[in-house]
Amino acid sequence: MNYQGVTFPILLMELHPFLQISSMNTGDPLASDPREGSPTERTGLMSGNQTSNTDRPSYRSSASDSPTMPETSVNANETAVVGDSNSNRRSRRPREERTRPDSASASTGEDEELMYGAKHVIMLFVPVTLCMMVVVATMSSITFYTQEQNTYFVYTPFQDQEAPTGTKLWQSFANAGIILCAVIVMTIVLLMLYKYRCYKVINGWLIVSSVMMLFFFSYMYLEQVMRAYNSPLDYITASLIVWNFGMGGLFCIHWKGPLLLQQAYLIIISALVALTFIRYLPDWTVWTVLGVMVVWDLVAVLCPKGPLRVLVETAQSRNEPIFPALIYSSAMVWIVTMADDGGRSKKKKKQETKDTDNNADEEDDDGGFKEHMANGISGHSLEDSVAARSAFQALGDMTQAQKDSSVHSSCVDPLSYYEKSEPQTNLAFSESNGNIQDEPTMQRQAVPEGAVGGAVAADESDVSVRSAKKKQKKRARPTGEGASAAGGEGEPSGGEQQRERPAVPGASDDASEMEEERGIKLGLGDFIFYSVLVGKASSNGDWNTTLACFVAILIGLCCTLLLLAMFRKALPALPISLTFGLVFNFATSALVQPFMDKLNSEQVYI
Amino acid sequence: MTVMEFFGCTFITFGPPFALFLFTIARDPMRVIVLMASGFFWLCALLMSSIVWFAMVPLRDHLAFGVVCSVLLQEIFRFLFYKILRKANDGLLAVSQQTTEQHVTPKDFSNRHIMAYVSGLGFGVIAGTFSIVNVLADMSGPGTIGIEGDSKYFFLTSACLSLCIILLHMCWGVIFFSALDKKQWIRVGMVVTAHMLFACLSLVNQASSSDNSEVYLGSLIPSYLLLFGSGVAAFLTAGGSLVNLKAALICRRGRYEIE
Amino acid sequence: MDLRRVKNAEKLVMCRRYYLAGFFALPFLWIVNSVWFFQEAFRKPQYTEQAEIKTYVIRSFIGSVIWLAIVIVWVTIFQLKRVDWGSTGDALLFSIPHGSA
Repeated sequence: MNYQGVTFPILLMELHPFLQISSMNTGDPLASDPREGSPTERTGLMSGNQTSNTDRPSYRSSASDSPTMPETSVNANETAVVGDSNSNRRSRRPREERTRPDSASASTGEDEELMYGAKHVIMLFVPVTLCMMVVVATMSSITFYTQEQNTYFVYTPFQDQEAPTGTKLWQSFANAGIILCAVIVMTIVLLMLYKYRCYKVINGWLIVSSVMMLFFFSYMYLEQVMRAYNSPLDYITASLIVWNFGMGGLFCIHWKGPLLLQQAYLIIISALVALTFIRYLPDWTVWTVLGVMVVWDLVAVLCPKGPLRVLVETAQSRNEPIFPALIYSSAMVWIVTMADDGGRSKKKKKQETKDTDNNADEEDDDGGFKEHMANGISGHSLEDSVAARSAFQALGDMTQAQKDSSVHSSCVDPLSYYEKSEPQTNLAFSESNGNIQDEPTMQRQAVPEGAVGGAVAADESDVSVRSAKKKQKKRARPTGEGASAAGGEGEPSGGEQQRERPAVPGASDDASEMEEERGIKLGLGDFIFYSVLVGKASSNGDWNTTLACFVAILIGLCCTLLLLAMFRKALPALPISLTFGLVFNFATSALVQPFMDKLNSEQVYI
Repeated sequence: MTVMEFFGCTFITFGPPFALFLFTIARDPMRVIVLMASGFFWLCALLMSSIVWFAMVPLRDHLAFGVVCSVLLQEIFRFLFYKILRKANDGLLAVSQQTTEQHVTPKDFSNRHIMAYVSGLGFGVIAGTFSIVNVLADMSGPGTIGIEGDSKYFFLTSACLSLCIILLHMCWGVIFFSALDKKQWIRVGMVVTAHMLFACLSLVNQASSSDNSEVYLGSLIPSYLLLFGSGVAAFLTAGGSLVNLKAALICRRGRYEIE
Repeated sequence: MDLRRVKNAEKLVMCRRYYLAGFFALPFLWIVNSVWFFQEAFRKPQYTEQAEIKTYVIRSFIGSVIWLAIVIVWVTIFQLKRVDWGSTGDALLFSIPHGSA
């Protein structure tokens, strides 16, 4: 701790931005706090720089008819069409539902989605587990993070370790309250900045905070690791390591980098933040903070005026990802449709299949969990889904992603985000509304596809063909039946499609690229708080408690996903998991532990 | 030495379950989730039994009571888990039987033993882990066992018994679920009895000391016999027979998959 | 980012930037660059930008190997000679090891 005295002030200073930042974005890595709310980020969040895909958005926009998002500003000329299609869609849906029981294919969809859902749950399990493992391993091998100390966050003025329990209790609540206030203020500041489009400020904020995290925290971490393993390291190598690590992180997170690396960085960042929290929050305060965060997460995401919800809605209405770089995304698929001069006809065809796909997809979307939705509800749920899709990519959406199992990625592409010249245009939410044809964007992206086309196109056509095959099967039934069954309710989807297509002319004519990204996104805040809980549980040296917390959190995550599938709107990811985790932590350390200790020492097995 | 012992015991306990996990479960997300969920149920059962044990202040030192309660509670929770799983399964089954898609793995739903096996393994893994993990943490040193008059085989026995309980739970899962499916209450009772037997056998270990390591044989041998018996029963329950055992031994593709 | 969904021109830009950035004592970026674009440079059917990508990838690879060698040599020298260097060696220490029995 020799030079702790020097570091500390720096850390404190750093923490300030760090907290703020964190508060801002939902998924921001740095932002441990507010973000947790962010878990809610809507799945759609990440549409890097791609144009939204025609069909799907229209569907969304229909949903967005709901009062919540009046702004769903679709290009004016398209609006009408969109509206139509929406109404068609809507009307069709109940129909479909009706037919579903007898349509085998439809039910297949459900099942598939269940499988996909399961797969994506696992895709979240793995990173969460990794993050926890990093934290727990650090906690148990490096004493720095567990030892008693007297330096704490500025946010926690009350830190009397000697006080009687009662005092400690209120102090911890006071601390948690202060932190919560900080988080709320930051969230609101962020919201304001976002509302008034101060993108530069936000970006600067994000970058500054990631710089801090990447360099400063990793520096501290490296130092502690070296100290723990008692290995001499020289400053030259150390600075080289930190410099490379940090810059690599900046490149990957804020610009472009391989998906795997991006994910790794996000996980590491979350782990570092979690460790910092464990280290610098007083013992009791950690627990209170976790409890308070549960409540805050609920409020911020579910209240009609909850800041995070407003944030999400605003972003959706603008067709932008929120702070893209800062959300863990398990995978992303872009479905690309390119028009190149050579294969125009082919392309058209492709486009068509694509449309079909999308339609089918949408159907699937809800179809996945149809069981839970009565006919009446489904409309409603549609609206909701528009309002916000949660952090977990809606399970249903995954079909396509799965299909080309080659999960492609590209986490958010901050680049586009940064090219602020046309932030609006660049970022289109795949999820959210709108047949938005951003001409500029398209052109920008349209670039010389010709030569390139080879590989990509093959790839893509593959995908679309495959999916088309399957989807069409699925689709045929409902449509046919629907027409007869639903009579005047709406046109059969075929008609709808045709109508829609004109709306997309820009897309199919111009070289255009439609991409969709599918994948699961979880706010880094979730990672952080899960890890804080598990890490804190492991700090008393009992592995059973750690394990119990771990299982409880993952089960909580499962439940959250299940709820997500049922309600299809933004849900906070913290409450269930953290509640389970907290209950099991205290129950295990208080009740189970003595029991198991006795059993273990007597070698009695139950 | 302590480190070697640590790794040895870790591999004894977790080697076989890890292999099972890797070959049969890891690649199927649904199974991983079921594994997790069954582990959660076991945790709930443990929590309940701890509460009971804790509440019965006068009996706290008599482990036998806590053990009996715990066994019963575990079996109750296994039953609850069965109920929940089958409830979910029925819906899925209806759906997945009609499917022709390849990647849906309807096997999981059409063959009920698979989920039974997975949930049994989930119970076992978490139970075994809970009983060994803190011992393992102590095992890696510093310090070693035997100075205070405990048997030097303490760690080894713990590891072997933990492995035993993991595998036993796995077998019981299969037997228990299929017995409930067929409403064969006798076999359900047998599972409960076997579990009780195992737990009570391990009570013998309390008598062990540095001069009296043979006591362990008194629990280890019957436990592994029980494991063998349960394994055979589970194998037969799942539709195994001598014939397909032979068939399985012939090398062919995909033999690691559960059919 | 998934390279399969990125246009070739963009790939080139990315590759070049990674390559250029590597000159700021960032061998890690070079490593990433050479691994990440390896497929693009050598395994994909030819396209216009490929030649350029290839040179960047190769140079990045060479650069990262050189860096790696330098670092390894330096660390080895430092670890071996640290004690001999006396106070200079100590001044360079990032973490000071405590003695062990």
